[in-house]
Amino acid sequence: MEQDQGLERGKSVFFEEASELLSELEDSLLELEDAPDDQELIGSVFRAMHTIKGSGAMFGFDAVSSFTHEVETVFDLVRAGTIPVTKQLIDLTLAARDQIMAMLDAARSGKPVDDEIADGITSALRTLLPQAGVENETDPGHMAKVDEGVPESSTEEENSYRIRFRPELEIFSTGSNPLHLLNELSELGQCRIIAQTDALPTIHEMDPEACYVYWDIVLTTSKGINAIRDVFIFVEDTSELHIEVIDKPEATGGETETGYKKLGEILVERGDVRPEDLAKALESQKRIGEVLVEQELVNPAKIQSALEEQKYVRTVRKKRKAKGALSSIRVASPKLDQLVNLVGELVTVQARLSQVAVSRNDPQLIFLAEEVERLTGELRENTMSIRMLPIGTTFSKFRRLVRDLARDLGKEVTMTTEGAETELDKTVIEKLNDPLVHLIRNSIDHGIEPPDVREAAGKSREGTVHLSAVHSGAHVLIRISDDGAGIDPEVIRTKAMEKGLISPDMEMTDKEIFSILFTPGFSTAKTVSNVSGRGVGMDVVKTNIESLRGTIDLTSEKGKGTTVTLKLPLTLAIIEGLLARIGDEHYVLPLSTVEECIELASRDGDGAGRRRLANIRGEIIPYIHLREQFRIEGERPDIEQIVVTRVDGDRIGLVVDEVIGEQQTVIKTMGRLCNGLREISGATILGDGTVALILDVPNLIHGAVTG
Amino acid sequence: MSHLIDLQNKGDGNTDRLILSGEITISEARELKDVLLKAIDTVNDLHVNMEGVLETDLSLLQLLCATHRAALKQGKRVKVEGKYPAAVMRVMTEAGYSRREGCVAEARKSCLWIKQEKDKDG
Repeated sequence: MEQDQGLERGKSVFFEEASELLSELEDSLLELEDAPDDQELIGSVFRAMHTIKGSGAMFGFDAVSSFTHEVETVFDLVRAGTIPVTKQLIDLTLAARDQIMAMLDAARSGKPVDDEIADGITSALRTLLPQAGVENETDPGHMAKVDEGVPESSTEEENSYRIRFRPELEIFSTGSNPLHLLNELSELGQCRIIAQTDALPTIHEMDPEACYVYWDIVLTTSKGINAIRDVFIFVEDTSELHIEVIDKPEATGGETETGYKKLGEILVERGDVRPEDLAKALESQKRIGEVLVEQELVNPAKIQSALEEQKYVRTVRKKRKAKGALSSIRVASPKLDQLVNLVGELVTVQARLSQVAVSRNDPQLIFLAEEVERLTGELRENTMSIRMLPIGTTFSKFRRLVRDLARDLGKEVTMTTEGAETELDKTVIEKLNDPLVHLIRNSIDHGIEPPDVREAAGKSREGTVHLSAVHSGAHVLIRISDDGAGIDPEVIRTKAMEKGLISPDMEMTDKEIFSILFTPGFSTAKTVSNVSGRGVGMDVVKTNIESLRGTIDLTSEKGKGTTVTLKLPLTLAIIEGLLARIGDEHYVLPLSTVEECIELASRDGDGAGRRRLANIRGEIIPYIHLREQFRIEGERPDIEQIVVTRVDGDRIGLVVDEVIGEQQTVIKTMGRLCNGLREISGATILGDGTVALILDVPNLIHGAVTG
Repeated sequence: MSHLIDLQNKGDGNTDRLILSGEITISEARELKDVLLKAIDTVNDLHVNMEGVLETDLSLLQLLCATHRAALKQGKRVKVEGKYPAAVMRVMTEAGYSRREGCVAEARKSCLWIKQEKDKDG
């Protein structure tokens, strides 16, 4: 039973890892398309395939494993330089990658998968193989090979060994080839082999059929010392064989600051130099290797071999250290969501505690409450940062989209990105995917012209879609811009008039005209393609973005291109707010929009109309009286306060009875009944259990100005 | 597979060129040793061309090393002429022969197996 559970858990880890590998694979393939000679990329494609194949077989996904094997075979030949990297190869491998993804999804959900696609890809891949490779199909060893596949990231302990292997002179005549043994050894892990030839006589004295060479080998393997001995099992009795462990995972370079033993130590350990000779050589100030060679205490090859060992172990340790530094754990996202909820509750309780402490006026309690406040704040920050993901992961997904779309539409398009490291809340990133896909499709389908048209217009044949992300206060600005044909405001105007959305005599700015694009059912595409143009879209994009408490803005210049800017909040769960009171009601203003709070001096400018002006340090600032705006009854206090906010570059004041202070605000969404309330973006529960409404400042101001 | 071990004099009486091609393995070791021995005892410079070698093993590397060693003792020179074919490169890698410096003190710079880019100095 337990074993079954273990297997199930293993499977789910495999699914997760495989989908990560597949997305890395996609990135590597796309990069490889631009740099077909990059051996490192070819290697990483091969390794990804190899790992999927191996671990797939381990968990019983034979179909995945054998299909992946086909691709791996091809990439093995690519790695060897037998097959060149071509567009066709990349296309096929990308298709194969999608197929593996589909197979894994099918395996997870238990649904059948279309084998025909896999067969198609397999046979297409085989045509790339050199003629002899076709035999693969009937190769009986082929499936057996699949089973051997071991995941590359072995979790077993890897040790490094120093091996000296000196075969007997007659080894060739016994039928053993020492090179075969060395090859077998190098299959155990990463290794460095150095031949020692000092025993070799001159040609006059030599027996041409004897083996005079012996070897120093440094090997890193997880297989253990017995596996190494097994390699030499048939020659062990007649050869000299020394195996020593020189590095273990727990060793981190205590020997010297630079990470491994000194040259002299290695030579003495190996028995190549006598300790007393070393001591003598160390007396001189020159480099120890030089001295030893000069005094003919050791030959250069021995020094070189020891130096290689030193270098090798240092590299192994460095890699291990880097691996350790990157270590992370996997957490299921529901657990994280729950944590955020709990932190939210905690923040609410903490606010309550602070309030109680202040009202009791108990210094001890106040001190405690302040401590709790500080810790809660840190906890909140930390929890939020766990949820933050760089947007680059989403960006890189679009490279594939751009590539495939451009190919389907016969256009040449490159995608450039900027600010991929910008972090956003996980939920925001997830919900951002669909709108971004839509906007990119629009850019490529409607924006970027076919290559010939571009050329005729004096542009480069290749169009560019640029994705950028940048932090701006508590928001992230995401821009999708293209250098395509742009949007002609007149076309939209005409179309809008046809549809009766506007009347012919309406005076409109370009910005207003562009905003028609976000009206449900509006599309200017002359033909409906399967990419875009069905008229569902921009309005959905807008709704999606607004549900994320974001805004969308479009600018375009005819002939030059279009830019869509999305402004999104960093997080959806908790904001820093400013708590204010009007009568008995409490309101929260997002602190990100607040610039300053000032007392509203007497009742200056107390005239008719909702919009008034206040003189703040010589600057005239219009303000909105919220008590009037929300029609709250009761007497206005003698001294009111004005909260100055900045929206879209304009400073506008909001007048409240009293500003209470800053507060971490857990946002609770409001029910459907309140959907129509544009001025309110949500609600929060205050320390004393009452509800405060969170104001949507831009909408509030917009409503007050136009209403 | 057939093999060719062909020793030619370059005309000045002091330089020999040894052309090796095909399969040069342990089975050819005795024949090759005799040719090398004769060359190193008669001329001052021996140029070895292995471009045509298709299959080989450790014995070839050992023989060339031993010849080189003998040459050094007598103040003569041995060098590899032309490219190292894939078969030789493979054995060099497998046997851990590729190196940055010669193995014995006298051959530090002139070693036959020093990485290709330095061949010209060797």
